[in-house]
Amino acid sequence: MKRKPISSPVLTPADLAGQGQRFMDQGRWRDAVESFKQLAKQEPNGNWHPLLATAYEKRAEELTHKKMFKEALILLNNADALVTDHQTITGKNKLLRLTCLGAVGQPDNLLAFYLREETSLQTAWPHQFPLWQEHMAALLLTNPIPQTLPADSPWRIWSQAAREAIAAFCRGDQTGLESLLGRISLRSPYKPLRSILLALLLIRTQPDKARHLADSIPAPSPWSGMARLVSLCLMEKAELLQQIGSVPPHELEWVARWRGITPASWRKATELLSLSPAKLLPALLDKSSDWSIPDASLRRPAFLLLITTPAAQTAFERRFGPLEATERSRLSALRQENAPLPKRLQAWRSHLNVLQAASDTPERNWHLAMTHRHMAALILDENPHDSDAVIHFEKSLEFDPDHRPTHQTLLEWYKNRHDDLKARRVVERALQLFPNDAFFLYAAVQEALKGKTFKKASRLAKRLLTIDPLHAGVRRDLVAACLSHARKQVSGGRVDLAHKELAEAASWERDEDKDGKVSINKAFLEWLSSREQEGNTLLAQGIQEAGGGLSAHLRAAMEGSRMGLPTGYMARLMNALSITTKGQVTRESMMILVRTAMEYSQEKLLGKLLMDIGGFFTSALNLNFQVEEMRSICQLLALARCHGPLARYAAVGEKKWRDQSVFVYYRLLAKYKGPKENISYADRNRLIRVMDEALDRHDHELVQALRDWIYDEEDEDDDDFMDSFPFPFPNPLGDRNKASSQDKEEMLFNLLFMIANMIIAEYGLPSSRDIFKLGLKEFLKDQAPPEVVRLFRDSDAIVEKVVDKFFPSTPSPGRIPFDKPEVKPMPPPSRRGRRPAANPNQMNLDLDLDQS
Amino acid sequence: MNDHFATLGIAEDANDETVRKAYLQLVRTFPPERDPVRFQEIRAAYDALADSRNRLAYRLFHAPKPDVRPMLASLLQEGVPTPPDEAAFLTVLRESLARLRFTPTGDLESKTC
Repeated sequence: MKRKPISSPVLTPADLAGQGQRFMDQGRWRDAVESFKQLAKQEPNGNWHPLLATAYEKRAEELTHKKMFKEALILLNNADALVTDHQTITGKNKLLRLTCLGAVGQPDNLLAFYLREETSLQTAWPHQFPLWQEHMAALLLTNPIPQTLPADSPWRIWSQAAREAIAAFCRGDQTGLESLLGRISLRSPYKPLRSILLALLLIRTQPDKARHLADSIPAPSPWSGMARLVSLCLMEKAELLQQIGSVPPHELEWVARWRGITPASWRKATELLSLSPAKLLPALLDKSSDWSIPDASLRRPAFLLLITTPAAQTAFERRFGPLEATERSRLSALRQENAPLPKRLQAWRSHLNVLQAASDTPERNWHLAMTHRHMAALILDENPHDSDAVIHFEKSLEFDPDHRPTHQTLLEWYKNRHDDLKARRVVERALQLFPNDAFFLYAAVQEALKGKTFKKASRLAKRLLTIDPLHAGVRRDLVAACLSHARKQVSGGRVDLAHKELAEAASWERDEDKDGKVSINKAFLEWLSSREQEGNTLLAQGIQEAGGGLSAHLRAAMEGSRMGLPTGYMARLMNALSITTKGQVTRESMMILVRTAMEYSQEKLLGKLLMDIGGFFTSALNLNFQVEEMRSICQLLALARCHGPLARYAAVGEKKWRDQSVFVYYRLLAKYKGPKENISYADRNRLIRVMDEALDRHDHELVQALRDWIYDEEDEDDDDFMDSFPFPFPNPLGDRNKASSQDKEEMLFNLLFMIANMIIAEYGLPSSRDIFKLGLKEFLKDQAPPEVVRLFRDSDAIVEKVVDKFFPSTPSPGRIPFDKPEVKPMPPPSRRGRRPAANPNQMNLDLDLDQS
Repeated sequence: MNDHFATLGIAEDANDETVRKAYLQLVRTFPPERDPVRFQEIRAAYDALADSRNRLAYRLFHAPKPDVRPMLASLLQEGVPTPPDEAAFLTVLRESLARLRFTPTGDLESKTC
């Protein structure tokens, strides 16, 4: 849009001068220029020239920021024409002019201006000056030397020497070049050229030095492009070919020639590289017979090219002989690697069939096992919980039984799913194959402890410790088991047997790793055996082993509680704990306390003890905790149900780390003191937002905590209808990727059909088809998890089909029997993961089923 | 990622000894202090191919975009190094200057091509 003129022609010269000055003061350079130009028309002989010149300069500077260098240059020229004496123009103008001349590409003018103003530029712009000097040096080589340059100017001498050096290099006159390089002063702006020419000479004899010389030229230098050529000269041939496309062809040819690569062979290679993949393989195979490359090395890249260029298979087989049946089926499978999972698995299944038909060799068995493992990996990649992967892993072990990682994967899988029986089987099988494997031995110890076979655990642990004497985990587990046994003996009134258990616990401990538990428990046994003095000594020892201080006393109190000590002893321990809080609170002591307390987070007494030492928490409130530390403190206080301190810590965390919504959760948890009945609508929405954010951040711990709090316990008095639903809402396509689209449809149909039947059983058949359809969709939106809703998003036809069952075009018989069509078995009902009743936030989460 | 066989410059039927020799040779040529990126690549290739079972698994199931450059590099014949003519030298310099960018603060920046 064209701007209106600022000043009107009726303004007097005085007005215009005042207006122009005002604009100058406001930084409105364009308007100031207009005002002064009008003034110039009215008073051609006035003394406004310097003002207009300054306005031009300022406006020019403004334009350079908009990269309008050409326009800026015109304004600078205008300013120059107004003020004949260059000294009156601000110093900035010179650099600005230099920049504009460089940017608009007027090397001659740039050189002339630079050489005229060199001294003043050097003084005014010492930071920018060296690079400009190098730029001028380069320009003096690519452009004629200005006539105005005095004969004795150092520029003339330097540039002459540089030109001669270049000419000597291009003639291949190495000796001449070396002496000419000596004439280029290291202090002259031609130093980079000197380094480049020297590096080019040293490429073959001293590549490291050549690289160092090239690296000494910084990126913003006008010579950096030349330095890059040196780097290209130092590259491997294959790497050099990789530069095609990113480096101008003539530069690469330049480099190739200097590297001694014949132009014909360079041309041939670049031509081949420019071919499309479909043409490349046949071309390569045709020409490769002339190359030095052996067939064995050529075969793999050629085979890989076959994946994308099936048409070249004939050429490939002509060159390398016919592909074996297994290779052909593998090729087909590799071609499907970007297809949907069912297709990929189908292709690899075909490959397995071909392999199985092949003769039985060790390599074939490996190949079979690897194919199974590959299929398992593909499945897990798509869905980490798909149990079909386990089938493939198990199958792979039939062909490759001693593949350790597979045993390990299977063990992790079963352990994560709490399938102790299968985990134990995997461990036993692995231990037979790897009897001295520390990982499996430890797993076996853990499984034995879980199965309450302590003697077996002990035997295995001893074996493990002969292999890995420092294994802390196994020692810790065995000590914990012995302590647990000792407590049982005490509760059964068999203190003498408890002594034995503690002696065994002590035998598993290393002196360096003692955490005081065993000594503390020994002290308790002494007390219970009425040997007060011995007990006190052992307790002091235990407290010391536990690191002393508050956390050690907390440990003693918690161990006492676990042991079921009489009230008098417990009071003594708790009293000692209270006294210890008097010490100085530091961030470290707080975190040690948190770590110790977390070990006892399941103990009821913990909350009381932490409340008893509330003063400690208050004192530590404003210490400079890291976010993770603050989170751990809140987690502990939440587990121990210490809602007062929790509220204070969460408030500090929320204030300090506004992006950490976890503190909102802890604050609200403290506010409602656990039970969620009284959560206000606003706070509930806030918590759902926190959960969404946690989901986005993959903060599964927080998501689970929120689910446990706001969903799991809720709706205790829900009607029976809701309880009859198979929660968690099953994902009908748990293994959807292996299913054909027809199977998928069938599964979705079955699920929806079952839901429809249950709705009708509860509420009866609605009066109209539309109401029923709407109700079905709303039900899904409100109750199903997003992943299931997503499945239905593009499956409106399936909803229609289900509704058709109840509202057919012909008169309906009414309700369709539940067993038709066959409904697949659902997992047993569980309250975990259940979705809340509909609320506006949740509606936002879910997808619109009508969108298709 | 490059094909590990191509990185080590070995055929897919290479045995343990060949793999090891190729690796040691390359590590000598590209030590980590000189070319850390290349070294990492070589190390990764060796880790993947050192064991015969892993090598087979890699050969069978990894199908990276084939790298034909090593093949083509073998096409490039060595001859006598020829320096560029003066005009070609100055052309490169001129183009390098043309890639310079000028900032309003008077600084120069070199634009990579």
